[in-house]
Amino acid sequence: MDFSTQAIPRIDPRRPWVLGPSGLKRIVLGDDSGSRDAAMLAHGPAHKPLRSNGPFNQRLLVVAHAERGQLDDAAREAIAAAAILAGKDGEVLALLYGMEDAAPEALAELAVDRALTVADPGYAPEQKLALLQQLLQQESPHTVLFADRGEDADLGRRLACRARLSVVTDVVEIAADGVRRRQPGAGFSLRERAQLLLLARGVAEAKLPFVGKGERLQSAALPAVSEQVQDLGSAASPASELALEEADLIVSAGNGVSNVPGFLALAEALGAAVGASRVAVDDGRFTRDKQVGATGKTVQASAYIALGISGAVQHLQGIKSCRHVIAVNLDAAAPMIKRADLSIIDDCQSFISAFEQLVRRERKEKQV
Amino acid sequence: MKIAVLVSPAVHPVSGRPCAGEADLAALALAQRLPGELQVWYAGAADDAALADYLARGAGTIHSLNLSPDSDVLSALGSALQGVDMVLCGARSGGGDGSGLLPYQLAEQLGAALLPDVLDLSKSDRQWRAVQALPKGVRRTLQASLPLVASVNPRAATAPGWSYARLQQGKIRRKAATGAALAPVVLEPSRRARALVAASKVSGHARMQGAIAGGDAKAAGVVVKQGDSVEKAQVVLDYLRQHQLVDF
Ligand SMILES: Cc1cc2nc3c(=O)[nH]c(=O)nc-3n(C[C@H](O)[C@H](O)[C@H](O)COP(=O)(O)OP(=O)(O)OC[C@H]3O[C@@H](n4cnc5c(N)ncnc54)[C@H](O)[C@@H]3O)c2cc1C
Ligand SMILES: Nc1ncnc2c1ncn2[C@@H]1O[C@H](COP(=O)(O)O)[C@@H](O)[C@H]1O
Repeated sequence: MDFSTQAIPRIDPRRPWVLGPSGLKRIVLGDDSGSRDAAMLAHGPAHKPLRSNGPFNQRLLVVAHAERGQLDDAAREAIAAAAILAGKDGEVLALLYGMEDAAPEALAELAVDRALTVADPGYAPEQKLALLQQLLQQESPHTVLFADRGEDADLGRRLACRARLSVVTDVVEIAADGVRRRQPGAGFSLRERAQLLLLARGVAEAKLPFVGKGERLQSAALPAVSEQVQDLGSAASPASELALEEADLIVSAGNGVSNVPGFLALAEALGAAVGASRVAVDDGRFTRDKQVGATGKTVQASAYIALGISGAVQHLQGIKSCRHVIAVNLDAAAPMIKRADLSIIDDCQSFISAFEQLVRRERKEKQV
Repeated sequence: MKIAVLVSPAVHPVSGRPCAGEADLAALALAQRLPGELQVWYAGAADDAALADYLARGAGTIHSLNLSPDSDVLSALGSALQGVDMVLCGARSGGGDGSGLLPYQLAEQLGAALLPDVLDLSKSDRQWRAVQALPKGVRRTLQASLPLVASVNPRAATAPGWSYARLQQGKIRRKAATGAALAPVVLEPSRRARALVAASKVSGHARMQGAIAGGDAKAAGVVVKQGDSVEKAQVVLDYLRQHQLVDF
């Protein structure tokens, strides 16, 4: 056949298109405005719609403590649960401790409609309770949500008892017919939805397809109420004495670490707990209680420094909830590098000694 | 000084038989180290066999308030514990499956200071000091004066071992008590809990895009290849400092 004479209708596979309001791709024939490159668009910041523009006639309150200016997954899930439960006419109000510096966009991204941010005063349950009671009076939320862990769990229980709210703790499921918590030996126990819910992990999917309004109330000061209990200060126990599950900073050694005394010296200089991969434990460099991973311990450190660990899935399982992972490895293709937030391609032995010297020097300068 | 320890039976995780709860045993052991007159209380409908473990591990005499199974423990205990200076509870009942609410409710009812998740208690002048266990190994020291309610961490102290002689010598004193009825609870068989998921109006294409790239997925980490070990060490230290992970 002679192709050159026949008019074959050809379609440009990269015709320009625009993204319609419903998220669908629209091709306007004869129009060359719009985008040609789908991949570029997909990698750009996704534009999420606003959950609800109001007017609101009811609200939910979420209370959370941030750690180092950031909310952890449990707190994010609590806010997500509130946003999903709120409905069109419901507002998500958040009282956030320790997030004074958060930008409105960050609050909106969390799906918060209105946020009251307060500097975290440390230990001050009575003052926090007084502020919460004020807030309950002004805003009268129909449900108050807390994450059931750490400071939030404590404050939630205090508020429930002080304000005489009905409460369910360790909620694993919120459904139309009530809330469920686990009942050992019997599956679930179903209760009516209480005024105050303390949420276990996994109650809601923290990833949301919408944003909140992200308005910010004037930062409030805590009311001056005297405390019944006095705080004499807190101290982190020395990392070497700490159970691995409790540690906040861990240095962990794998097969790539051959100079064990040097590694232990680094851990001591940093004040970090010591972990190890299974290979390093199996060949006797470390004791079994140091093993991190599927058959070892699951750790929750804020920072996990993996030295010479390849990052097998069984090992990665144990560090799933670590916030910052730093990897040092000779092999830039190791799976650990994909998991890590910061990766150093270097020989472990020389890195360890350089890092140890640096840490010791900086510590000394700090003391002077 | 009058000290009351609250105990409630737990269910053994393997055999399913009633046994002593870890945290309640720790509370008992901690109370035995303190100077003062010690009483052990239980409110509820459990039979003697369920409390036997506590006797065998050094509870001496247990005062048991007889309640019908569906009535409220709090009001019964609240009136029984009037005039007690220090109440020690476990952090959670039932071997960790309770709600951990009772200490908070009791503190509110008795108007006492609350010390949660205590690892150690000691006297200093006229006040009491408690070491509180916080996540990630942080220990906080709190100070309060009597009356106080403390919930005790399971790791606070170890009760003496199980002894038949102590079980034989131990007594359970039963008293009648009244309390308000509890709200009914419906039990259901076990399955996977369903998480709340926001209804999404995004097109299928965009969802697929989000699953493979873009979206909220974590940005790839920084990889540092250049420089010698000293420079790389500096990079790591800068990272730790930037995220406030070290204190120097
Ligand atoms: C059922 C089962 C359960 C398991 N459970 C666990 C578990 O709980 N925990 C666990 O850790 N593992 C577990 N494993 C083992 C796991 O699969 C891996 O074998 C193990 O984690 C690998 O340890 P590694 O990374 O230290 O050693 P390797 O795989 O030998 O990796 C060493 C890494 O160090 C790097 N390296 C070598 N020399 C240097 C150097 N000089 N400088 C810098 N980097 C260097 C290499 O590039 C490599 O990436 C389990 C396995 C099975 C089958
Ligand atoms: N029925 C009860 N009688 C006496 N003490 C109890 C009872 N229930 C709970 N407690 C105490 O309160 C603590 C916390 O219980 P809970 O709030 O059920 O998790 C327990 O560890 C016990 O010390």
